[in-house]
Amino acid sequence: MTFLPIVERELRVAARRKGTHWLWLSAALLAMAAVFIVVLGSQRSASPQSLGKWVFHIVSGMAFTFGLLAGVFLTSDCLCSEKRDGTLGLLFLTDLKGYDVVLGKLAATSIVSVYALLAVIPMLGLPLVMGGVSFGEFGRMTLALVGTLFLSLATGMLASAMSQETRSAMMASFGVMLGLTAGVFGVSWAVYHVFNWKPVEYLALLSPLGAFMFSHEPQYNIGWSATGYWISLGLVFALGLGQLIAACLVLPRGWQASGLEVSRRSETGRAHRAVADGNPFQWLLERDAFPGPLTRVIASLLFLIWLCFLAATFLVGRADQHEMMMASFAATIALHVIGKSLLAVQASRRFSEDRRSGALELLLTTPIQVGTILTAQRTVLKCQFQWFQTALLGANLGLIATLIFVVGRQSNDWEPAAVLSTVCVGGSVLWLVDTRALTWLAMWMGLRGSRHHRAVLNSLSRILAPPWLAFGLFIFLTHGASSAWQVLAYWSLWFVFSILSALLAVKHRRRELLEDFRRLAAGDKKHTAFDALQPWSPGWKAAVFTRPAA
Amino acid sequence: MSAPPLPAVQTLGLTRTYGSMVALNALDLTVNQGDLFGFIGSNGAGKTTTLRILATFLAPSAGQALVLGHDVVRDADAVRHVIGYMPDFFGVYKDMEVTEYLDFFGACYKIPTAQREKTVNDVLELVGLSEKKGALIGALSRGMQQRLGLARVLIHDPRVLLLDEPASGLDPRARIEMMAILQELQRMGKTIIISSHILSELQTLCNRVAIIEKGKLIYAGPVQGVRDQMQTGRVIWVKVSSDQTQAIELLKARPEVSQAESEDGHVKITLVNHDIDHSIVADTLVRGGARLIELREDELGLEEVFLRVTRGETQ
Repeated sequence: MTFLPIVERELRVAARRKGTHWLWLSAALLAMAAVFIVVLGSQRSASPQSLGKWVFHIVSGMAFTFGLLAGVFLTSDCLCSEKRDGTLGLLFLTDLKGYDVVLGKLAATSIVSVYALLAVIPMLGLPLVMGGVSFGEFGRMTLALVGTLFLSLATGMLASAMSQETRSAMMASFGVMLGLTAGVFGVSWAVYHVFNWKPVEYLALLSPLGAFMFSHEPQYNIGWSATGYWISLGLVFALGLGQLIAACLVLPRGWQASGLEVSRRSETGRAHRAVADGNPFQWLLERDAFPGPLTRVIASLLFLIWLCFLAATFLVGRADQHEMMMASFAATIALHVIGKSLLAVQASRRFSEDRRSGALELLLTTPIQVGTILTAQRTVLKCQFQWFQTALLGANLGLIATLIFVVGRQSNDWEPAAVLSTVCVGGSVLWLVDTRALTWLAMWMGLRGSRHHRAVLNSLSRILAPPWLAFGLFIFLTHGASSAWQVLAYWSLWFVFSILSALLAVKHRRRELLEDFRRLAAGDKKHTAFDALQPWSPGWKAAVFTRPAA
Repeated sequence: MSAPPLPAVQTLGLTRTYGSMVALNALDLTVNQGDLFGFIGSNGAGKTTTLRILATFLAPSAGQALVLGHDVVRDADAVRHVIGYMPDFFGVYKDMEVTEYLDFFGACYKIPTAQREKTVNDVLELVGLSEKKGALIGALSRGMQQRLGLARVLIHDPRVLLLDEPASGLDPRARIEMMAILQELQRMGKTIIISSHILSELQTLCNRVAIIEKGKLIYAGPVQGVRDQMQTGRVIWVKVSSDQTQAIELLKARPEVSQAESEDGHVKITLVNHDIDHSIVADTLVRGGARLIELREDELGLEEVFLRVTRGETQ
């Protein structure tokens, strides 16, 4: 008898998949690029030790972010897609148990992320040669990264086991990871700084960010760093394990839920809403209740965290004011990224799912125009994200006002306030450009037929990755800048680059959507008249000799 | 003199390739208006590709396809108004109610709101789903979802129906009901192109068929025509209560009979060609004093024809 038969099969399948190898290669290249940027951007006088520390911080930061998001993009779809397709039931008709399926799927989806992490670890070990980082720090960091990845993947599995839809599973796992990192850590940090209440610090141990921060601690043996690190790491693994066990228990009970849900809804009955004459596709999109309660809770939580940091700027003493201000600034950046991610999820969803179900094929054989479909999609997205956009632009304005009227006026040093305010303005402009670009690109990705979570990941990586890579470079350029105005110039350059990169990424996709929508939906490669005339093409005779109908 | 009516569907050298794979190879096909046309072929023969091209969802690599005179590429909008396409999968929005679903597609066909409710009720009645108006689609059985698919196809009263495996996965009763609906639609003057693997049903349902294999048209015409083409000679089976050897001798003496032999207690007679009237068999036996108790003709079924055709047993 084979122990865990699905694990073996899924590992074989995953090992043959091209994407598995591409991801670890990309992770290694990305880490190498980060090291290269650090070394290039550093000042000549910088010692190898300080360079080593920078490399360690940046590479570990990248790997940590990847670990946090791995569950959202890799595991959150794996069980719910099987539930929707009705294939999960077939597995449970055999002797397989919940743990067979959960561990099998976990193995299949996590192998990619494990490879990626393994590819990054040699870059993380580079500072051991350069100096500035000890073996202990390296080992602790590696363990913290493994723990974070495990927790994230387990969260995705549980969310997937409990959901029917990819979007809700992605949102749930993102919400949990956000709560466990920014939520728990941010709240305990802010409460400690504002109220000086030390016990709240223990709350941060629940967060994978706790283990991550402790593993950066150079004076590990002094104070309670060592204890804190191991407790935090233990809690992270325990949380991950707990979620995996919960997924194993939930799955065998939840796989029949879709049918029951449908019949239950059928019994209760909903108010029938007639389709208006104008744009039927818009009616279809408006039926989708977005933002749902989960999204509203997550977004409210995010804005609350941001508000806490901003309020703390006024409440803390001048010594801590700068830290709080920077925390509000970081929270605003996080809000931008999260808002864009939500938009990518929503923009790609309808096309991706309808293409898989075949509903799009039916729709495209009706006289409905492609323009009508695209207009509806954009109009509804605009309405669905109006609230987020307003809140986000408000947050930017709030931050600018605080920077100018509180920080600048109190310290009488206007230059940093001016730089950060300009960044806020640039961020707002970039939001408008990026959301437009993401709308088109995510629709294109969804239409190409990749699974929903992959469409989201691909869209985000094409729009957000180039600016964030450049961001690393600019941080180092600004690090060596002599004046605030030089920093401002660098930032302006970064905004221009980001805007151009977004426009370039979407240029051809937009045209393709407008002109070749049906071809994309049919999964058809572009055929030209030249293709048909190739001597090896069997169609060439027909193309040349067919007489057009009278 | 009036011009002949436009063919419902006409393809000229229709070719479709997927990379190096040829799905359709210069297909020439004509379907007349009012036909109930069976489209037969093994898996991967090119039936679905043809229907998807006719439904304007897929572009041909070469050649031309016309639906009621409209080119599927150049005049796709006009084609979409006159066709109703039902693919071999459901493509339904499972969280919608039956009426919402039809209402939505009615709006896609620009049927005015005032008229839509009546149209929805009419098509639901036609397919026998009136009682399921408020039901969620996800809660319907496979057969009912199939009927709903047919109702969707009929919502804008199209003149040409393209149905890809409409009876697949249905139980015998649902299949018979589906076929009855299709016959009713033909009586209403619609042209129906139906692709199916259930050849015994196509045999009784369709007036014309086309057989395609590896993207090439092998036969197109009346069902009887393909049988005639396949049968080299007419085969008659008789049973006599008198001496069977004598009966065989009597029959062998006739120039119209190419072969007569005993098989399973019957006499199997092969006539030299198809046009010979089988009454000569009865006549010969009765005149020769044999006592005839059974006479039947061996009819070649569409399934047998299909197997022979796809084995390359015909030209």
